[in-house]
This record gives sequence, structure tokens and C-alpha cells, in this order.
Amino acid sequence: MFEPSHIPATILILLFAGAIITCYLAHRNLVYGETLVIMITLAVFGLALFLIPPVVRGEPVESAYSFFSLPLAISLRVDSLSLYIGLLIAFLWVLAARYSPEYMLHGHARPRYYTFLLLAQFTNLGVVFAADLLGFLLFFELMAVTSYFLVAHEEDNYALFAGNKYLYMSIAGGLGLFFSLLIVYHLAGTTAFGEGPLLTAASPLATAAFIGFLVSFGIKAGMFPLHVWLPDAHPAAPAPVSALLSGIMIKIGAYGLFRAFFDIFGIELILEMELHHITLTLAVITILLGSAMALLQDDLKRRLAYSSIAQIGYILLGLSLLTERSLTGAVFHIFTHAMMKGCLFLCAGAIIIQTGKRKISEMKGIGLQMPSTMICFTLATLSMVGIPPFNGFISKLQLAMGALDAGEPAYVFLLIFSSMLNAAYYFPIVVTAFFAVPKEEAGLKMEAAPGMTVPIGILAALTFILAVGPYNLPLQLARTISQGFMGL
Amino acid sequence: METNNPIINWLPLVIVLLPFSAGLALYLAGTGRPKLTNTLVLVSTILPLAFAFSFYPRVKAGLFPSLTLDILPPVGLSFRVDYLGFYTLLLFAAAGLIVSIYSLRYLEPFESRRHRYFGFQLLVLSGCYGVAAAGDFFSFYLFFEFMSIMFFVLVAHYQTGSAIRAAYKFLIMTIIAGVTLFLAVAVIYWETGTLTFAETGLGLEQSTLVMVAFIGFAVAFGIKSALFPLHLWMPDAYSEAPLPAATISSMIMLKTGAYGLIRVFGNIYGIDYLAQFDWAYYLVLLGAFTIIFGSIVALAQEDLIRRLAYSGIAQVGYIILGIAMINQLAIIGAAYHILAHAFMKGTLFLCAGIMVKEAGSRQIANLKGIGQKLPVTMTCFTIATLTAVGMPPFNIFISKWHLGLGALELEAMILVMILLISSMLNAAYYFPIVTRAFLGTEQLNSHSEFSGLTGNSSGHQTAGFTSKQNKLPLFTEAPAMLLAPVIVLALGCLVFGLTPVNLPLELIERGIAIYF
Repeated sequence: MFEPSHIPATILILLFAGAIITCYLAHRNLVYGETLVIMITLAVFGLALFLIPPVVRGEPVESAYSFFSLPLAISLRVDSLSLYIGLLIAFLWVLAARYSPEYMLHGHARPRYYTFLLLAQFTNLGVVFAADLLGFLLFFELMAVTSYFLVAHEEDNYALFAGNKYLYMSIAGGLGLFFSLLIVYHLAGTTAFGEGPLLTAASPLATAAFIGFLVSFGIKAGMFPLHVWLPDAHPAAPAPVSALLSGIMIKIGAYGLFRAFFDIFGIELILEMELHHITLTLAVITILLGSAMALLQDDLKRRLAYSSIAQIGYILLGLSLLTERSLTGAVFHIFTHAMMKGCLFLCAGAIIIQTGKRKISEMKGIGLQMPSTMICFTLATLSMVGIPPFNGFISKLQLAMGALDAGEPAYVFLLIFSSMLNAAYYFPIVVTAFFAVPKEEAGLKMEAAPGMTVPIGILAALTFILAVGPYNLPLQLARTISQGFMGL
Repeated sequence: METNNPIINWLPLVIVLLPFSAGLALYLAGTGRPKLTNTLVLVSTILPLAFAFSFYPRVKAGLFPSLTLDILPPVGLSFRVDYLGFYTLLLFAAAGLIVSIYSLRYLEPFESRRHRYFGFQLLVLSGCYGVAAAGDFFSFYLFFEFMSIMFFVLVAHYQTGSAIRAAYKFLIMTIIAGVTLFLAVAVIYWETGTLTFAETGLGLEQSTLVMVAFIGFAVAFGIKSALFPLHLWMPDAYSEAPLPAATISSMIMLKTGAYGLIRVFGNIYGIDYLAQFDWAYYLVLLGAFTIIFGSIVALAQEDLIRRLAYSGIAQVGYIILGIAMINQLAIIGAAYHILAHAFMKGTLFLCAGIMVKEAGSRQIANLKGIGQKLPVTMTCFTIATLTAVGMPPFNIFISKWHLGLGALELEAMILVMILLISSMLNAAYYFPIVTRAFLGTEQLNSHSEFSGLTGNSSGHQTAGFTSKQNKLPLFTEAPAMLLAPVIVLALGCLVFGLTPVNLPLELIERGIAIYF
């Protein structure tokens, strides 16, 4: 058995080489290409599992070597936070890859799609495995470019518009990160994560660096007022890509903020410079705005997109409250949201493929036509509203406890209010789908192919199954991570 | 330190004389002999590159090939290839070879005046090599002037009315540059009695004349490297000259201005001397303004070549800005940007040549969907645009990194902002070309220029891209002699940051460290 220290690099090389082979193979024979993509994503997930034992033991997996000779060499490092996000990425990509062949059955330019699907996973995993800010920036920028081709895949006017908006805002975000990177390097002489806070003193330059981080990660995460790309990009992209965008890529923004808070600035400096007040305010606005806008949407995927904005607000809220339990809630919510929003977007994709309906008002009786899909949809919405024993309940509970720990009970009311808004915009969909028309008038059964319903079902099951079971690995990891943040 | 190997010491002269004599021979005897042209051009560009490479072990060990010839009294002609000179010479020789290969295919085999074009292209290249290998400022001046004047013929190559006008514009500005440079060189010589490249400046006295000389240098090199407001010759010359000539100007000749400015700062005045005054401050302002100006004007261009030209103005602004910041990191960034920009803009220009031939139009609006006909070319174009935006791991990231750190060292956050804004503008004017080339178009099956050119309809079966779903060929590609230079340049945008040791950066760091 080889050393765990080689696994991160192996994963990245496998994905990059896999993308090139896929590009060649899928043009020749699409079925082989699709199978290859699924095999590669599975292999990546399998390899990532081997990283669990050392990291859970508390030993970050550090790459034995460094790469490139950009101004600095880049190396890889997997600590508990990287592992947590990395596992999510690996897992969700397997499902998206399995879901894609049926979803894309009549689509165009499929070889390109699969190539960029793997390249996007390569860049996402690169971001979380990077051991320093320079490597982070490298993959962060590449992520913007590779995911552009996924977002604009449909190539109609709407997709091109949404894609361009996404691309240019992402580029701006990358430049913001470059700006902060320069300042951090200028002040600290290094950009490595995991060596304690890099910045030690408050200064105008440090504030400027924080603004750079906030702009860059705020754009990626879809934080108010930088969320404007998100409600267009999510609906325009193919459903598996929407699931990945919402489930993973916007979390990369949150991941970056976690790194900025705890590896770059450090909790003392954040408190001293009162930077968390900025993110707290923005988080509250993001939650309320996302929920309110979601209520107004009739397009299903657009409603889901605005809901993602609100949910990112939760993560930012937990981060800004800066207590152990709020951080646990925020980190755990990354998992929660990835599962339930991934499930919802895949359901929406199945509905669009099977019925061609995108508008909620047209979805009367769809639950009778596509029962398995809509039951999974219902489970995910229950988790979204935060009903026990679903994951959504656990993360909201942690966030609420964290708010009380911080002595800010007002945020508990915010959480409750926002959950009610969640209910208000999700339950009508379910009600319309199942009860709007009598069974006789519902029309023919048109359930999606198993290739689509199985990933949906897995995600739906994961919205509660770990919460019910005896060992909740994501929650354990989230606790370890937040304790690490708080220096416990 | 100098090498004591006589053969090595004579090689810089050979490097300059080879393209010079080949160029003359071609112009005088090359009429209607395309085979001779090809051979001479290839030989006289491959050999200089090989010779330049052969300096590497010695230069790395700190032994610089140098040669002084007792001609042209009173100063004499001398060569000296130190770290910076070696770096520049290698870059120029590589660029010269790559563009020459491309231009051999780009200019149609039986085009009239082809021998004249290649003759003068070789003469220009010999001037460029001389600039990089020059051992004192007088030799530098000679080669610089020679190169500039010879380029006139390339601009006027097509002999249309507008080409002649552009060539005159170029000539007039070049002569102004020559006169001011002569004035500056004369003043320096009068003040110090020498023009050698001293390691930390010539130890000039403070006087008005010296300041006038500084302005002279700034104007001369500003014109050559198209610094605002001295850029006027450039967009016209680029759009009228044959494309390979514009590429040579962009990759090499603009850089001679920047290289000269580094020499003036480091070897003539000395960093400590300049740090006493705020002369360079005005160059910082001009550089910063040039960056923003060039980027914004580029955004407004509908003609691909002109957009590239204005973008070049902006990019050379980076170099001037970096040099004028007079700080070690910034000058390293500026010197590295010479290479970064050469590869980036070279790729873009050569790709543009292929695209324009294929589309039959230089209007950006007519380049929609060209990525399906020319996927390899457009992939290289995409790599170059990502480079232009300054993404890691591409070259310009490395120069921007140093420039940004240098600006922070000066506590000039505004300059970092300018770099960022310019990067954003780069994205704004390059990415639409790429996205429209690849996305949002129906499969275009119109006539392809290159399927006719190659005379090989089975060329459609290229690689694994022929889709099973529709039997129509998806794309044709340019002939290998056009494509290979493009691919090499595109790899050059990428490869230096990925190798374990960044050789050019190492050379620059050593060369610049001498000045401080």
C-alpha cells in the first residue's frame, strides 16, 4: 500500500490525464467515454477515502514534494477541512457523472461536456488540496475557466449570457484573490496554510487584503451584493452542473473564507479588527434576500438558485458568529446543503428532461407522473426546512446554539423566520406536484431512467440517513474542524 | 568576468553577421528563387539560436563572452553577453527563428518581392541580435538604429497607399527617436568619456545636461516601445505591415526599447543615482497611463490586428512602469515581462494570421465559430489570452507577481490596482473572441481556405475529433508550418512556470541583482 502522502497528487494527475483521455475517447465512442468518466470519478472517490484514517487521527496529509517554479513552489496538503470538502467533491461528482449520460442523451457537444466535467473536478479538488494561497489561486482561476464551459454548455443565448456573467465575475474574483495574495506575501513572506495565522498585526494593508478576500470569495459563494451571477448561471447550466455549482462550487467560496479567517488572519486578529461584523451583516442580508427572491420565482431552477443564496447565508452566518458550535453548524451545513440542493437540482433536471416543464405553475400532478423523483424532492425539501431528523435540522440546531453562545438570540429568530420562508417556497411545489389534480387527470407515468433516479435517491437518503445512524462522519469532522479553528 | 575562449568570444559577432550577410545576399540575389530563400532564412536563424545556446554554461558560471573590435573610432564596436544580454539574446533568437519559420509559409511561395521581404527581415533580426549582444552603448545605438531603419521596408512591403503612409509615419518617428537617442548618447559620452556598460552606472555628475540626456533616452525608447503619447506609429504600422513583420516588431523590437531602458537605468545612470531624483516618477505616471489607455482603446477596436496592437501598447506599459519603479522586484518583473509578453503576443499574432486567412476578414465580428474550423489554433489563442489576463501558471502571472510586490514595497497600492484593472480589461477584450469562436454557433461547414491550400481533402480525418454522430468533417487545420510555431509559442506561455527551475527568471534575478 502506498503512502497517503501521494494520494492528493495521484488524484489530481488521474483527473487531468483522465480529462485528456476522455476528450479523445469520447469523440471516438461516446459510451466508452461516459463509462470512463464514471470510473475515474469512482476511483477518485475511492482514493479520497484512504485519506480519512490519517486525517481523523489528526495528522494532515502533506505532499512529499512540491510542484512548479512559479514565483514559489506549490505543494499539496490535506487537513480535516480539506478532506471534508474533498470527500464531498469526490462523492457528488460520482453522482453527477452517473446522472449525466441519461440527462444528456439528446444533448450536443457531449465530448466537450465530459472533458470539462473532469477538468472542473480537477480544479475543485486542486483548490481544496492546495497547501498555500498561491496554489489555491492557481486552481481557483482555472476553476472559473473550466466551469465556464459547463455553465454555457447549452450555447443558447441565455446560457451564453449567464456564462459570460459568470466568467467575468469569476475573473474579477480571481484578481481580487491575487491582490490579497500579494499583500499576504508582502506582509508575511509566505502563503502556506496550517502554520498558524500569517498576519499578526492590524494595518491598512491587512484590511485591504480582507476586502480582496471578501470580494473574491463573496463572488464565488454568491454572497450579497456579489450574487448577481448566480441566479442566471444555475438555471442556465445543465442540471448535473447546477447540482455541482450549487452543491460544491459556491462552497469553495465559503471554504476560502474559512481559510482566510483562520489560516490567514487568525481569530484574534479578526476580533481585533472587527472584520466579522462585516460578514455578519452581509450574511443576514444574503439570507433574507435569497429567501425573499426565491418566493417570487416561478422557474423551478431559478427558485432553487435563490434558495442557494439564502443557504450560503447560513454558512456565512455560522462563520461570522465565531463560536465553536456556530462553526460546527456552518461546516456541517456545507454537507447538508450539498446533499439536499444536489438532490433538488437533479430532480429539477429529471423533470425538465421528462416533461420539458421548467415553471412551477405547470407542474400540477407531476408527483403522480414521476413519483420516485418527487418523493426524493419532498425529502430534500423537508431537510431544507429543517425538520428533524433531517440534516438540515442538525445544522440549524448547531447554528442556533452557536448564536446563543455568542449572546445573539436575535439570530435564532432569523433562522426560524428563514426556515418559514423555506417552507413557504418549497412546500407549495410539493403540494402542486401531488395534490393539485386528481389522480385520474394526472396523465401518463413518465418516471426518469434509473440512471437518473438512483443518484437522486442516494442524495435524498443522505439527507437523513447519517443523522439517524449511530456514527455521523460529517458531523464528527465538522466538530474536529471547528475545534481546530477555535484552537481547542 | 570575461571568457578567455577565443571562439566563444567571436560568436556574438557571428550571430550578428550571419543574418546580416544572408539578408544582403537574399535581397541582391534571391529574385524568383524560393528554395534559396527558405534555406538562407532557416540557416541564418537556426545557427544564431544554437550559438546563443552554447553560451549557457559559461554565462551560468559568470563568464561572459565579450569582444571589442577596433573599428569605428573613437569608441569601437564591442560585444558582451552578460546575464541580461544572454537572456535577451536567447529570447530574440528564439523568437526570430519561430517567426521566420511561420513567415516562410505565410508569405505565398510565388509572391513577388518575397526575397526583399525576407532579406530585410533578416537585416532587422541581425540588428535585434546586435542590440542584445552589444557591449557598450555606442554599439547598442548603432544596432538599434540599423534595426529601426530596416524595419521601414517591412512596413511598406505591400506598397499600397496606406502601407506607404504607415511606413512614413513609422520612419518619421524612428528618426526622431534616433536623433534624441544620439543626443543622449553624445551627452553621456561628453560627460564621462566612455559608453561602456558599467555595473552600477558611470558615476555621472548632477547637471541639466544629464537630465536632458535622460529625457532623450526616455523619448527614444518610449517611441520604440510605444509609450503613450509616442505610440502613434504603432497601430498603423502593425495593421499595414505583413503579419510576421508586425509579430517581429511586437515580440522583439518593442522589447529593444525596454531592454535599452533597463541598460540606461542600471548601466549608464545607476540605480542609486536615479533614486535621488524624481525623473523616473514621470515615467511611472506615463507607464500607468499607457496601461489604462492601451487597454481601453483596445476594447474599442473592431479589427483584430489593431486590437492586438493596442493591447501591446498596454503590455509594454507594464514593462516601463516596472523599470521606472526603480526597485529590485519591480525591475525583475519588468524584465520577465519582456519574455512573458513576447510569447503571449507572439502566439496571439501568429494565431491571428491563421484566423484572418481562414475567415478572410480581420473584423472580430466575422470570427464567430472559427474555433470549430481551427480548434488547435484557437486553443493556442485561448492559452495566450489566459496568459494575458495573468492567470497562474502562465508567464504573465510571474511578471505581475513581481511587479505587484514591487509596487507594494513602494507602498503604491494604486499601481497594484492599475495592474488588476488592466487584467480585467484584458479579459474583457480577449475573452469574447474566444467564447464566440467556440460557443454559440451552429456547425459551420463553409469553404475552408486551408482545405484548398493543403490540397489534401483526406486531411479531414485528422485526429480523433471526427464525430460519429454526424459524418461531416468537423474541422480543418492550418498547415503544419504555420501551426508548429504557434504551438511552440503557446507552450512557451506555460512551460517556464511549470519546470522545476525557472531559467529565465534565474538569469534575470542575477542580472538585476548586480545593479543593486
